[in-house]
Amino acid sequence: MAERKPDEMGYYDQEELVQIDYDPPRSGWMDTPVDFRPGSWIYPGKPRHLEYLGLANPRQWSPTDDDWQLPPNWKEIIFEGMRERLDKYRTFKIFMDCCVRCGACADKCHFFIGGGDPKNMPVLRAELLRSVYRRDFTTAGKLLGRFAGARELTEDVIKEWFYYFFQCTECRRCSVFCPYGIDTAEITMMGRELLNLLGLNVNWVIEPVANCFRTGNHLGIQPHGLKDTLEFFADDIEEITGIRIDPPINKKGAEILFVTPSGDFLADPGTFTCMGYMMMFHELGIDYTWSTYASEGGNFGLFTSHEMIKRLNAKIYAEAKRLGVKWILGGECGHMWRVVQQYMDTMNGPADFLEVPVSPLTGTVFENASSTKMVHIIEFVADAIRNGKLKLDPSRNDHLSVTFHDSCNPARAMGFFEEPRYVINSVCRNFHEMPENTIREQTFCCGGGAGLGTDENMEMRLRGGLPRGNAVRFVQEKYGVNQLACICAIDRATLTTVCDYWAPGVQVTGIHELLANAMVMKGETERTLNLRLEPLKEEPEGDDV
Amino acid sequence: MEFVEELRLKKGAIQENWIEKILDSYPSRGRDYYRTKKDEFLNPVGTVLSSRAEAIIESLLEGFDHSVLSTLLEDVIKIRAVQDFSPSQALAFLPLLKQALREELQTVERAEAWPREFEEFEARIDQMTLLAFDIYTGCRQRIYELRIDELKRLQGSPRSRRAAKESLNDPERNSREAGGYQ
Repeated sequence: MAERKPDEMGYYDQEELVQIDYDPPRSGWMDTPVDFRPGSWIYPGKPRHLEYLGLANPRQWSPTDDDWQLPPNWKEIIFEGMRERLDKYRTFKIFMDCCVRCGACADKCHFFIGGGDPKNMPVLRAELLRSVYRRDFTTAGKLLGRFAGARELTEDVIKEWFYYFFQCTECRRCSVFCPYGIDTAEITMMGRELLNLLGLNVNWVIEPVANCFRTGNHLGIQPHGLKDTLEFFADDIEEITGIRIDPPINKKGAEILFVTPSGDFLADPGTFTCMGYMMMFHELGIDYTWSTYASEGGNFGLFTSHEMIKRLNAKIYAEAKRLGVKWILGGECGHMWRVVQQYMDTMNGPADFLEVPVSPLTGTVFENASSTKMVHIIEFVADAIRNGKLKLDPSRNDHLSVTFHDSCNPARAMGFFEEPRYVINSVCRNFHEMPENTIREQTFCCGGGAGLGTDENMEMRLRGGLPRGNAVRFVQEKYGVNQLACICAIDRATLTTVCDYWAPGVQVTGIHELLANAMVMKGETERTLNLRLEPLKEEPEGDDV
Repeated sequence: MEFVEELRLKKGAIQENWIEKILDSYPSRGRDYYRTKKDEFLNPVGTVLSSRAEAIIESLLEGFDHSVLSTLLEDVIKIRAVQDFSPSQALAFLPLLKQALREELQTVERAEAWPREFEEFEARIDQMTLLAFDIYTGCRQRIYELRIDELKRLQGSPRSRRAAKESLNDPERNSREAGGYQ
């Protein structure tokens, strides 16, 4: 450091002050290798889960290792994998070719907005894959190399893919703005499929997949555990309402099979939402059943490969057939509905052995589900409320000021905007929307979807959760919002953390928790507790006794 | 002209200079976005950085209000604590205010005219840097608490959860793995 005194100009020059590197890399994106900083990447899949699923190259490894122990012919595997997928999936081929790099998607990703890393711009994230495609699958790329945006596949490129394809939550906000309709999430999905061929995946995805394959749900809850769980929920419900519910499990011949994400069985605040489903079903008196085998609405296969989506999803139809139900009702989940709406029917359907769903209460035919035979619970309950089938006392939720987070997949994969708002407005009286450019089809992701919801990448999650958290804080300060409602189990888990950091004081809830608190059940005792077993009314302040 | 008056006069330029220096810590595409996008919901980073930078200078001109500065710094540091920065990089924006100050005042050579006032003002920046250190460590601590909180939400006592967990009979499974896949 040059000899300067503190009162001299130049003492505080950027270059000299504490000799730290202020500057981001100035090299081009193709030549800037990934720096695996703690807090931004996820632990790799454990070998036993890969072995269980028959996936490639099970081994102990870490992204911070120099040697990732790739198979000797790893390049060949990737090229062959790309070739196979380019032939098999027309969308993949089109998405590799048709981007004109207009930049419409560039500033739409919550990770880019939160962190400023250009490789989180969806266009550049896709270029990570396209550059390899160009060099080895297009004439221009073969001849012109870098001039045509092509580059060689190296181990550093594979590391970069791993880093960035597991920094995409497949939320598809960028896709909304693409004039060519490129579904950027499918590019990430392809990137992850290719990585899986080399045994590169994350434990937060692959363990749930293995669990689900073995037991029917991501958590690995076995049949007796699920039965006990629902019965314990019933105990809590009895304490709150005085009504004893006997949840039907694996009931053959029931009219409806109900499937929800297993997070609702274990993690707060999803557990309260699960109690809400049970209370609603009981009150409406419908003929339904839980299943201990199709006990997972989510599908982490979506974050692994198309084949894996199919393997896990098939369980739902198989169980529906075994039990002989007429149709399937699905709970508050996010990516589950991307699978149901856009993949299930062509992967495992059409489910001709089931009937077109009809509400037993109102006779409403759910024609939108006439092929998949699977209805979203919010549609179902909105129809019930609309037809006066539930008695509601929204004043019970008067202490809450609620906003609604459109979960990415129900919003962008289903176009599902009005039904949740209708139900919320029926069960509470203080509802405030977040700013327009952060909701509905433009909704911001929680930052933890697509298998990113673990804790070791917390900095990355909070970075990605900033745009959502910022909008929540805005309505918190402007309207006194203290409750964020959502219809996704990942949201219920991850937005709790996002709010705790960016908008402390805002709690997260599922819509069925709000509904069940407002629902006046036949024969209930006077409610003094909400579903969280908290007193409904503040204790009056006075002298201690 | 008094030192503070001179500073007020140059406030806009100092602030602009400082914000540019802060934004320079981001890769070019990120920096351009943070600089140009004016919507506070689509660009929380850029709008928070520039609005708080302005308010921080305004506050320093008045003296050293611990609580006002804490709030302003927290808004900025909370963001930088989860971005791709080492601790020193995350807080480097504060000493850079001194550089911006000197660069902008240099043209009129005012720094030499009021050695005492200048020193006092820079001492406030130093004090603010120490305060920022507390806030930064607080943010980082919060991140680790949030990680623990997530695990606690899965490991808590409600009876309904116990049953599910008891059925997770995989002997290799440790408690960390026991839940949380929605």
